[in-house]
Amino acid sequence: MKVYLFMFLLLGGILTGGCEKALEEDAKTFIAPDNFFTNGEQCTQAVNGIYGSLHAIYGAPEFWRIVDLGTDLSYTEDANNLVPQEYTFGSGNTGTGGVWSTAYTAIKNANMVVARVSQAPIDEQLRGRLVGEAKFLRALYYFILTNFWGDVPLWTDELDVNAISQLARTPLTEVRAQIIRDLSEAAEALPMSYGANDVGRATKGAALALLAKVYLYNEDWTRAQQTALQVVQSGQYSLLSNYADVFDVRNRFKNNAESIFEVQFLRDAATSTNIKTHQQASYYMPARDPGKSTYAGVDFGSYVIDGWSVCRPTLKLVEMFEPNDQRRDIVLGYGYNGQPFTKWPRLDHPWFGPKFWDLDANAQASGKNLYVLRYVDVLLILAEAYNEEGNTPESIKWLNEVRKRAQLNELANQSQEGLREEIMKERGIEFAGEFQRRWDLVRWGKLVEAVKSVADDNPIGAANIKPFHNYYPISAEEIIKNPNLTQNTGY
Amino acid sequence: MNVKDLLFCTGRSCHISRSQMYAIYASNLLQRRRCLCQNLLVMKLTTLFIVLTMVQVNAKSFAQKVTLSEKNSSLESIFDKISTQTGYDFLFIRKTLQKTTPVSIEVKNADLKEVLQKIFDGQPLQYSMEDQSIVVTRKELSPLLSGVTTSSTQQRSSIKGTVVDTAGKPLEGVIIQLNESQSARSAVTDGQGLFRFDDLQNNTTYKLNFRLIGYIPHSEEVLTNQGTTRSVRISLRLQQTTLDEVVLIGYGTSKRKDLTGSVSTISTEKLENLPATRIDQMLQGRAAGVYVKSTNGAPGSPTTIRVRGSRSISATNEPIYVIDGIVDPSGTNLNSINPADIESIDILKDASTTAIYGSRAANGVVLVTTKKGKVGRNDVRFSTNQGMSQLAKRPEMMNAREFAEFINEARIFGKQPALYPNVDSVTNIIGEEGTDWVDAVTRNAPFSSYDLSASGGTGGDRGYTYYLSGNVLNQQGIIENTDFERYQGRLNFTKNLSSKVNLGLNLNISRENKKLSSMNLGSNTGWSSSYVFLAPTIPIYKPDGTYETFNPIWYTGGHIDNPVAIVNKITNKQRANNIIGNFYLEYEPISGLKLKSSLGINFINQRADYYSPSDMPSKIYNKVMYGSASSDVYNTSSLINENTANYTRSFGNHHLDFLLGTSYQTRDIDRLYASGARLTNDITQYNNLGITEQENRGIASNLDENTIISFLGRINYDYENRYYFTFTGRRDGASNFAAGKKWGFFPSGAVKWRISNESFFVNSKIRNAISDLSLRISYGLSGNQGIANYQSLASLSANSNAYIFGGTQVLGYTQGNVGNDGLTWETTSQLDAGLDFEFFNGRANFTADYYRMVSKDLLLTVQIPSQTGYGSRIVNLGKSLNEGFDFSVNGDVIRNDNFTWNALINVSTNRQEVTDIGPLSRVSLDAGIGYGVLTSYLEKGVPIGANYGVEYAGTWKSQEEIDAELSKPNGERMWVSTANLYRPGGPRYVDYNRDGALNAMDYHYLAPANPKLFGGFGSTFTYKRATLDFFFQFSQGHKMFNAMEFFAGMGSSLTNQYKYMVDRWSVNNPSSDIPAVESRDNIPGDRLLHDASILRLKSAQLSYNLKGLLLKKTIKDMKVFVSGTNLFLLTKYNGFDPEVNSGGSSSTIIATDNGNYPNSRTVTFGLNMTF
Repeated sequence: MKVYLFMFLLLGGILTGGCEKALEEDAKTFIAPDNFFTNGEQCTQAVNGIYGSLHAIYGAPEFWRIVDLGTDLSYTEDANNLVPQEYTFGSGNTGTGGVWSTAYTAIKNANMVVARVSQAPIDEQLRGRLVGEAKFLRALYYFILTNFWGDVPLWTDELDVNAISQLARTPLTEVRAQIIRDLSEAAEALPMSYGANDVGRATKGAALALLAKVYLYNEDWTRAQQTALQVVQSGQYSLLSNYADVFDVRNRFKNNAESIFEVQFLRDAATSTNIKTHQQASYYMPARDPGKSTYAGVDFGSYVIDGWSVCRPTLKLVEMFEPNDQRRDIVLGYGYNGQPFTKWPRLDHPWFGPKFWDLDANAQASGKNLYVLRYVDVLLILAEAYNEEGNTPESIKWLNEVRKRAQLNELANQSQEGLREEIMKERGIEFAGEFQRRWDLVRWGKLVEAVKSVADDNPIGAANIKPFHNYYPISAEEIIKNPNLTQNTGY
Repeated sequence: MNVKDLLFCTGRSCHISRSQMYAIYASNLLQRRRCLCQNLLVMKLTTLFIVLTMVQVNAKSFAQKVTLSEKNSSLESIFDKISTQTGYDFLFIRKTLQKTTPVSIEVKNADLKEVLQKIFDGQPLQYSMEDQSIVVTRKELSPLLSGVTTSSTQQRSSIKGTVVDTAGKPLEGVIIQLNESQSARSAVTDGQGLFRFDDLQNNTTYKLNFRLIGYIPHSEEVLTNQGTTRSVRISLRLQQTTLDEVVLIGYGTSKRKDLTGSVSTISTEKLENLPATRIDQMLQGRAAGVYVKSTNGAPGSPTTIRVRGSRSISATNEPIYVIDGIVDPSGTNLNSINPADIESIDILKDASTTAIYGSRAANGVVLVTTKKGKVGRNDVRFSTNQGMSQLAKRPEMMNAREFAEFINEARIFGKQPALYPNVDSVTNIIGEEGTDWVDAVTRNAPFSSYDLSASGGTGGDRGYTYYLSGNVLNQQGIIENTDFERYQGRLNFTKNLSSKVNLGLNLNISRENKKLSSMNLGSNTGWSSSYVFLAPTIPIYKPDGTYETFNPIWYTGGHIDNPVAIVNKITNKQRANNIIGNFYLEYEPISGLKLKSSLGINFINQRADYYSPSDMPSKIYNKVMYGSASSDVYNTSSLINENTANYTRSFGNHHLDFLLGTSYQTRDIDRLYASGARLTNDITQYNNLGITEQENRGIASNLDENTIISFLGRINYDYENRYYFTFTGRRDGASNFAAGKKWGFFPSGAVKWRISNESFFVNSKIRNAISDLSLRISYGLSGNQGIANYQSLASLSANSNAYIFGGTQVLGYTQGNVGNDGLTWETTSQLDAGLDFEFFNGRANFTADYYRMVSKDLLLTVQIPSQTGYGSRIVNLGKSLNEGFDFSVNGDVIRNDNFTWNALINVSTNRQEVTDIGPLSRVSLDAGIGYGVLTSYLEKGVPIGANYGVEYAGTWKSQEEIDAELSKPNGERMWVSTANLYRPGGPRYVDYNRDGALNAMDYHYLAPANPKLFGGFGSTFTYKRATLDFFFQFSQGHKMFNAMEFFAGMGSSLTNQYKYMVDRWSVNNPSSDIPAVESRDNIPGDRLLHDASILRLKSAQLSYNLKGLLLKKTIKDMKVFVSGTNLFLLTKYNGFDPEVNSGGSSSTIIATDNGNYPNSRTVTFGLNMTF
């Protein structure tokens, strides 16, 4: 019997033992943050992750429609995109889609990187650069948030879910102050440029350009002007001679001399592989004729992109162009390859033009990069800052740089008010469809006026718009989840 | 042997009237009056013992206290008194009492055993207690008892015979009563089932009554021969007495009469010969409180099971399976188990029974026990089942003409030219009906199954039993190129090493091959090539014989792979090798103490292969002729070690049963995946992915590990079989919770009062009708840990395509899972109160249970503020409630020698609601329908995953009506539409919140997704050799969206339409409430929400027993049968079948039909034989 008892104990004892140890989870499929950030490559990969959210924001149709539709430059007739344009949004239907949550997802990742990479045992220079990239991106995401919502919850430490879940909104001035801090530090740490493999990363110029812009938004004209000048003086950037080249997919337009920071997309047209794409081309193309490869009556050859023509230029934009403005036929679409279109969205309305098309796209997928900061922006910041400071000649000088490239005559002396109007118009034309107009109008206090000025193209929006629409409502769901959040006035 | 003279005398033998006491009763008949017999019965005591052993089951219990005051009384008179007081019968041969000494005894309220000890002290007798009888014998066997004395006269005739059971096994101890003109004689069968009556009159008809406890009494008239022996063979059928049924309760067994908890037992006998590939498919409607629904109709598809409702939101709601002691939490092994190998299925439902499985038991436990060999038998069994499956029901779609007219109207509405300007020219080519895509890809599919098994064993200290079986099954799917194949073998072996030690092995090895459909089955997002949605005007083949690719209604026209091309050309198959084994050693060092240690393994080796060849029609059209392939390999290995000590002991009227044990289970799953695109040949497919160019390769791998450690215990106590108490506890540690939160304790308790054993009940007349009555109450906790591993840990997630630098994609890491240091068990407390009735000595029984379950600390993916960078995280928060009743009735309505009718019915109710889901009072759930259609949600106060949407209010009849409605102020408007559908014929909906706009705020609770009432009923009729069995299953009170109608019932010009759309609104049909062309609005209106109630003839079987008709010597038993499943369905649902779920076994997506493999009807015929 003893033998059996022994056998029994043996079998019974084989596996039982070391209980607590056995229950510890030792995950081998994924990496915990505590086990990461041990070398330069890992830290770089964590920074790459923060860039990823740029696709989710800039590549999403909702972003285009909440920045450009509902302004004085474009309108839509597409039923699915009407809400922002018609100013019928409310806290139950904000019309802003996932911008709020995507930006905070990126901020959360940036906060972790700043906290962890700062402590990582890696090359000091690399560490400085990576933290600088993270801070630049964090600043950009907060900039986007403040432009849509004004006061937003501000947090910069690594996530403590319970604490951050209860965070109230921070006043806009404090958020801007943090943005300025981040950008200033980033500008210190970031290099002027990168080697070929890293093209697309945030540079010193990008940090300074964005910083100048934030100062401009703060109406801190001196700092805006000083910072913008640093970009100019860096000698890194210049205007391309031809406005069309800035957007020409076939002309290796990506990351050109004029580009300061752009969101990188990629589609391998040769093998028709979509790597990172967006649908902007489909949204801005002239309408494709049913069952044909023609668009608005013109044959684009092998061009097989979907043309939904969701976004269309307002008559006001069309009329903004001075005669001979080289940008007109790039921003607006009147024809292709010498052949004029035969159909139009509305009487006297052209389509959006080649600036937005992508001849290498397929169906809805375009690999075209989207600009965040162009050198033109810096020049126009200088023009605006000098003008607001009362330094008209300096202002005109920088504005004329932009006009020259558009083959327009140089402006002569102007009143401050007149020059302000010129700058506003110039920004409208130059950045049409580049996700700037709404933010500009809001900071100028001209959103309501602008929307009412295009009542013919957007009658409902013109009727509905009120001053409180400067900011979007915070989603009611977010307020339920965090009762400390207060709603923007008016909603 | 003849029972010439009977034996005995006793106090209350006259009281013995229960069926189980036939043996004694039969003997008693001979005496007419007790104590009349003076002559000795001559029979083997061993036989008597066997009879008595049979007798003891299902005993009554009487007061066991004795008070005596006797001086020099005879034993016989003392027996009489004890018998009166205790209800125990004394069984003895009068002669044995000779030479016994008179007894003097003085006891008051003494224990019976003590009293007996005193009485027998010094007597030349021994006694044994057999439940309610005390058998008294000589200390040494009297030679008188062992012999047979007959004075046979050869001149007269004899009857001899064999009594066997339905399986042909000889029955020992059958009492045969033979009535003669003046008297009666009895005989008892021996170990070979033989009996004999001699000295009978020639050429006379005798009526023989055969009785054996547990079997249905049988009588047979036999005509004797002239001076010779007449031979007969009789078979007795088992009587179903559920009270004696052994019920598995987890780490042990219980008799149903002693059961304190709520357990549904499913008799596999009635499931035999049905064409099922998996046992869970046959459980539908069989057990009260257990709702079983198939998720789709593909061969070998799993079901989803809800035991007493659903309680979890983010964790699983599926019960755990325990197959021969191996815990299989997700039921992944059910495809490997041959239903024919299964002996019994017990479903543990209340907290008292489930608590022994602790943390995983809140959703119920399904215990599956496979067959073991039986000592003394040596059976070889062969069975086969051959048949056909066919599509049982299909949606009614438009034919070619109707569709052509519809699409023309839609095109003209869209200011485009008609697609078919001349409808007749279309129908002239393709026919009025056009292409029936459903018909084109479905078929009558063969079903075939073969089983061969051998079982048997020998008893004794060195004995063994074995059960060996093999199964080959092939079920072709009703969709072309789909099937399920199983090759399986099993060995169940037990071996005694000594009287105290035995060991055993259960081993199941199988290989399953599955071919899956790659065709779109009707999902909204697959409208361009689905067999439901494709236009009937498109031919399958072009005139040149190649597949037609042009779909004229794909927007403005495009090229697709049509369903016929897909089913024929794409390879999508899975194969799995599965080993489940459990080895155990059992040791009984002292009487009553059993130590058991087991080691179980489960290895699953699974591989899924996919290949799309280069010559897919759309690839040919697009001139990108490359193949694409992938292979996905999963390896699961699970180990389980369990050690238990079980001690059973009786102290007088107290019966105690202790169980203590430990369990350790670990399970890991690793995966390796590879894919390759742009393959330039069609030969190597997924077998050589290395020949793909670097940039077209895809790889993935991962590892998932889980460990659970448990300590468990149970005490069962009962007093006089009247008062029962059970306490169960299990302490579980699970690796998938946060450090410090891994352990949970799950206690439960139950009490049972067996009212029928109370003296007031025993003595009342109601006892004649109600033979058993018990009241049970249990309460306890059980847990749920059914969430993925590693959820408490913070993680980084990698994305190889995070961003683009320098024109190349780069790897990036972002925060993945948000850690949760507090993640722990979800706990369900359950109250159960039940009543068990047995009527007419087991002829019928009735069980009713009420339950109420409160689940708290739900593992809930709760919505958190997006400002954290996360939208949700899994936490322990939330509550849900379930309550309901389970009823089941089973009984023999008619029980004659030639005809029996057994009927059973079970009905269950369930009411369920979410009582807390965190900060958001309402969370919409994406049911995967696409296009932003949300049809289910969570909200406080409504059931989990309830259907929601808006009420359909018909169509706008005219522009005037619309203008009038729109001119009303917001608060007064009744009807709203989506912006573009304010037009005549446009669908309109009730403006629920009266804000003048149709938006998500108007969505509200419409109907539950799980039934309020469900169950099944069936009957078995046996007439002589024929048996007819049928079973219906029903569910009622739930609804489901037919997601296919979001396109096909809304006039979308992108798809074919339901036939009812012929009556759509149009200028010619302006009164119609069916929307006009181009009315697709992606709004979940209740027009598309259908009653999902069903009444289904789930199974039916007609069999004929050929036993004894063919090859009597070799074939012990033989049956031929015709059987079928899903034979008839009554439902209002307009899709294929409401018993599907696109969400599979999802906890929250419960009733969605977004294109599912349809259920089939299967009819088979076959035979089974036992040699």
